[in-house]
Amino acid sequence: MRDVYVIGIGEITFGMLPDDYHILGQKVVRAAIKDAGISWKDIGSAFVGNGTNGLCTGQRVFRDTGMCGKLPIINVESACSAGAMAVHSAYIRVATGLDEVSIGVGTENASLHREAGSAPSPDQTDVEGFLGAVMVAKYALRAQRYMYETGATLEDLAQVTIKNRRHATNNPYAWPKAKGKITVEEVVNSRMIATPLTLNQCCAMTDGAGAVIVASGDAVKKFGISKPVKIKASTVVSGPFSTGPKDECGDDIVKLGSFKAYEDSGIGPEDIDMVECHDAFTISELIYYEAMGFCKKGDGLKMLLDGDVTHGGKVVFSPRGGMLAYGHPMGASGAAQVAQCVRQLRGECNGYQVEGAKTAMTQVTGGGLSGTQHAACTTHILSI
Amino acid sequence: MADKKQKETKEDITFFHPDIFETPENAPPFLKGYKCKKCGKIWFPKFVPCPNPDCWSEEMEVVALSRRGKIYSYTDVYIGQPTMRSYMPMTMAYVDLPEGVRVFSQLEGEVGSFRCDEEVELVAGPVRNNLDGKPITGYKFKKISS
Ligand SMILES: [Zn+2]
Repeated sequence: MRDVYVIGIGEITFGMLPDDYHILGQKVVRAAIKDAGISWKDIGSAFVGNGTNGLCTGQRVFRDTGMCGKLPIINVESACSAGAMAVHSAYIRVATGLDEVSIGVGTENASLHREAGSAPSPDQTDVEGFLGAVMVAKYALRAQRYMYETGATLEDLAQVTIKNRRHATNNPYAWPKAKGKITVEEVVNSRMIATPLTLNQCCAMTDGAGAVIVASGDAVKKFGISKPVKIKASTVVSGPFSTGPKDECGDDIVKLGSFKAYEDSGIGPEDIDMVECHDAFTISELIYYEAMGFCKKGDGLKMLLDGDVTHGGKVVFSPRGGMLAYGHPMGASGAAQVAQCVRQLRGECNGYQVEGAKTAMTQVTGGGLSGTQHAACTTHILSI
Repeated sequence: MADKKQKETKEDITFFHPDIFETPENAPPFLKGYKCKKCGKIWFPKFVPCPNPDCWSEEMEVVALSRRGKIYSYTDVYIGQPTMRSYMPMTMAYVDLPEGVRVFSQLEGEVGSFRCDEEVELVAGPVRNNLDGKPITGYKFKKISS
């Protein structure tokens, strides 16, 4: 396997967007090609992550760029992990020498496809789903147990939302409605969804897209890329399956994915300056500090309250604002996380720059599959 | 048109579901575990063949699981699909059974009245409405009646 670098990124501002997923995808593809300063002709293959927008989503994205017929386009789906898995797939394609340049795209428009008042017939083979185990309920179960075991309060959980929205204040790509100052009261007293998770502790289902162009060392030289970001690890794992008890204050698959990435890269959590994680709910980020090895079991809350996970601390978690400030378009988030890490490592995040960031990590899980904590987890470690 | 006709003639289920839950006439209800005759592992809900990758045996026997378990965690849920909304808010939980099985279940009782590590027992009760608007009976857990 040869070294692989990110040479171009494409981003748009997340939110409830009037353009459908393929338009959002085209925007970030064009932006990434422009950012890399290469021609569309230099791209050898494309991978497109999407969750719910239908079939042949990748070909639909690329058709209107005129690139269909010129390169293989492969669609990638693993619920919320799809966008990161598209980047991983592009990475594999270059690492193995099949291509000099490949592109990973994540795109999703949820809001245009939401049918009001629709009542899908519940799937009887999915027992948990049939009985009402929506995603937020499953995270609420984790949060309740976490509070029971650690003594954390609702006000403590709220600090994750407050931190991440504050981080996003000057980020032009975060959802304008969810960035900036929010008080403990505004988090705690927002509408109860599933105890203890209130509305402002949950990410919104927004729309968005992100694109990442990866290339070989030869291509970096050929195109004269000024700030290539090296992919030190790009790992995908599937969720360990068991119908017995699991530690819901821990996370087996995230631990598996993180430690595989540390092993692949030779980089440990102590060397990482910033992390974009799957902070779909406040409790998720708290659990991930520990599962990803940034602190000992039981010390996650202390890390948060001591300011270890914000600017000036040991490691900045969610400097872009995370999903709590972007919202979470299923197929898009994973690619957008990688794009933001690259921007940080290049030192281009005016007003929300992680000082001296040299190494960044992304983590995004996917899929509520009964018997697993998540169906999939994709992890990246990047450095400059 | 064809869809509509089918809806009129075909009634939606009112029991969830015979593979995992039984309500005998003169005995308390119970959950059905699937015990692998080869490797001995008990699974819930139904898995045939055995999902143990070193086993994959087709021979699974149905065993009655314990009716009492312990709440690992619970949450009072305020949102759900339209056919569940008349039951909201409702408490949902993970209940650990002595057989080493964790069951996701609705809890019968007042929201806000449950605690982690509390003991509960299995009952039958409405878990949601079907598409005809009739309640579907399924398994639930409630506080131990003393
Ligand atoms: Zn077996």
